[in-house]
Amino acid sequence: MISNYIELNNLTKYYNKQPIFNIPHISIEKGEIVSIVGPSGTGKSTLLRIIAGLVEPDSGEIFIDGYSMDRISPQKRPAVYMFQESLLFPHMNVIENIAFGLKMANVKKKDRSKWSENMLRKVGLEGFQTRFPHEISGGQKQRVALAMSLIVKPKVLLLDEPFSNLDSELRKETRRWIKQLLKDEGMTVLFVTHDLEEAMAIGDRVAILADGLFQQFAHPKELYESPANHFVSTFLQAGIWSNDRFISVNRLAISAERPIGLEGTWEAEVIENYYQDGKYHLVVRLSESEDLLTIEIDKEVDLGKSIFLYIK
Amino acid sequence: MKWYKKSKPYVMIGPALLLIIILVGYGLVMAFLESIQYNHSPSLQVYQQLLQQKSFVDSFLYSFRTSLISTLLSVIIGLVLVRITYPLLKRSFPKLMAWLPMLFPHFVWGYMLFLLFSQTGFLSSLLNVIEIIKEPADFPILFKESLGVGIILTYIWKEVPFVILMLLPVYEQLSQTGRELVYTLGGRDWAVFRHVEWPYVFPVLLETFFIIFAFVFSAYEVPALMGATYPKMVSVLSYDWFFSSDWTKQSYAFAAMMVTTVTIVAFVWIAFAVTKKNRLHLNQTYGDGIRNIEPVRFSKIIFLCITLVTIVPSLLVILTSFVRRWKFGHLWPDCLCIRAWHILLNYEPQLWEAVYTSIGISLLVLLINLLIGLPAAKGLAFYVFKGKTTMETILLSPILIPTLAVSMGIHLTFIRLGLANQLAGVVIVHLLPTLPYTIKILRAGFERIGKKQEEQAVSLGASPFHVFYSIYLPQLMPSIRSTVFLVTVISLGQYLLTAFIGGGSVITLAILYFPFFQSADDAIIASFSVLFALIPVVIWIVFEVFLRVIILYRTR
Repeated sequence: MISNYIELNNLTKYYNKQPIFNIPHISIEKGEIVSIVGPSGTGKSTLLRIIAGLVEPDSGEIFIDGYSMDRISPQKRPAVYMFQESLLFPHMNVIENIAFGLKMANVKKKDRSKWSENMLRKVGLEGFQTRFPHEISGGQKQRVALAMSLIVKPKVLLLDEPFSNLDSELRKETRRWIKQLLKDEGMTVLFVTHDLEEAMAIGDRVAILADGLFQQFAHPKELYESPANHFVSTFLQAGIWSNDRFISVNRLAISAERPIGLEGTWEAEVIENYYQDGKYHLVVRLSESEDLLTIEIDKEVDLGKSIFLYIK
Repeated sequence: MKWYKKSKPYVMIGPALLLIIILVGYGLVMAFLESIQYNHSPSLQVYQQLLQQKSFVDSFLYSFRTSLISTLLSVIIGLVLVRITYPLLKRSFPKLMAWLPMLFPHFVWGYMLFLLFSQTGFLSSLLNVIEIIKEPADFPILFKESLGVGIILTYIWKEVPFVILMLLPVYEQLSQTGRELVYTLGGRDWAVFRHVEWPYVFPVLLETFFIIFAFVFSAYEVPALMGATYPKMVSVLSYDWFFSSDWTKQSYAFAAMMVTTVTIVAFVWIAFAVTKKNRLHLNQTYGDGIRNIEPVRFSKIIFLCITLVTIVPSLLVILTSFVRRWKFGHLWPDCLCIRAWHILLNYEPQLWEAVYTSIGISLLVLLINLLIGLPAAKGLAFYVFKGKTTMETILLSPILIPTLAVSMGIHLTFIRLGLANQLAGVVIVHLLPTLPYTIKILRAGFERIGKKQEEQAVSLGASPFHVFYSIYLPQLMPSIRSTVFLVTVISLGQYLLTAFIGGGSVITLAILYFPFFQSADDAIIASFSVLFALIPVVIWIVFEVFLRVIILYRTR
């Protein structure tokens, strides 16, 4: 594997003189799927659009496979941006949609139809050639959109909240399927979402983007076990920061009374409780920092009750 | 690169904007300069004298009254009709029926109503047959009389379809959920209208009102043919003054048109200022995609009435064109023959020349409209930039500012430039009443498609040409179709502009039709009227075939 397949250097973008983001340095390996997650309005989509060349950055450089993307038009870039809500051209049928990129590259008609039929099979939509986008379901549209992007063999695929208009069951099914396909194809992918679970499920590495910065860029496990800062731990609801030290939620236990003789104890209020996967889940708010934490326990605790957390 | 990107919308809108600023702005300035030339020294004395003249004041008030009545009634009737029948109007046959009057130029439609409502007309005959009236003189005089009933009738009949055309898209895009929300909160139909429909309908209605008002106030053709000798509509008066043998009257003509222009602009400006508060927050945030499909009660009956109202004059004019003599008191002519058509097509010396010239002008006007209008519409639809509102207003101005004022102003300059009496000059001035509509229609088309498809295509490697050819063009077809239709009809119906700039050497159908109107042979006028409606249809078919071929080629 070649490392540094995609490199972003000092990328900045301003909107009305306010910086949207500022990324010092990021590199992504070939065949890697990177999730970018963060609160809405943090410029996740803008980042993808900049890499695709649809928006120009105010400064910084982008390298794909060793080539600078400076002054390369979006048409010529080896990156395909795939829109939210899986945008298809409504006036073309499924096969025309899939073949669109090939047509733009002046591929001969014979090859075009051979390749797009092939791609159609890959995404499991045989027999849907002549259907129009309004005649197929949301999940099927998703597959067509993916086929449309993959067929031009981009070096990097940029997915912008691709599951945003699917319902939750279909979302999970589609994301498993897509990850499998992308891995089979060895595609390098940047995937934007605001859904934490989705980011963790799809990404080999996950970047947390907030306040215009990559707060942390690491493997999911690492994010949970050693979050880089307070923001990350809060965002993941992964644990407690105490005296610049991180305590993972796995190391915490609860008690109804304030434990005596222990160094680290925190008072918290139960704000939500639910039963899932054989365990009770408590969402608690720390009195001190207002941070939220989700803890799994064996027995039920009433809503609104004060509890105490301590290190096991 | 950066500079180019930033100024992109300006580059796109530039040609349209420049054309309109040069024509309208220059025309108005020249008209004003001419109006203050009194005894070779600039003064406002002409205005003073003008406002003291009874003939002008009468004519001005008469024009104001006529246009206000026509406009108000058209807008109200149009709104009620759309409100009642809009789920039906989405289908193509009802749509065709409702828009049939748009096919005919105003003055032709006026003639068709004349056939229906004159003292010896069809209605009078009908009343005679059922013995309500004894002779033609018992039927009230509606044309060429001082109340202007015939004029108002013609305008209402012609403008109601226009109101429907403007309002239908609004109703088509209104969401059903708004209605359901009102119902579930206990509101009734009135509350639905007031809170769900009105906020979206009102701005469009206001705009429609201004367009019709400004048009009726300063239009020449209909009052020239069916108005009384006193009072005259202000445009007719100015036109007469301009071409009168008394040269001193010319400055009156200019002054009269300046007063008219200022009145219209002031009226529009005040109304806009007053309603500003009501128009906030309405940036086309329409519904959610759920459309109302349930027809309202009575919609079938109302629709039947619409059909009757549009089809009767049309059938009557077609029938009349095949008649030798239609006796008063007969509901069906004695014999049908093609005599009138024969005379018109074979013995009218300039007819074929006029047909070719008209088609040529229409096609050129159409082509330039699309060339300038497409980029301008796209720029307005997709970009936010400084001065956008001002530019929108300027682009709309040719349909608010009297064309007579503008054409009087540019007349002399066109003569000096050698554009007067030339086809080219006529084509240029025909852009004025057409371009605003083209931009409006195409802009709505672009907005409906959205910008995302373009970006997706670009990301997949599509060049600007392919983006237009493969993405926008096929989806813009309905808008382009409407544009072709409207531009052709408007261009064909221009008598005043053509006469003014063409100066009698550019013979179009409208130029030929006008003197015909004075002749007594109804059958020939009727066949001529039908010809007027046939030409847009022919042009439309040609264009449709042409575009279909292009689009078919795309899928190869």
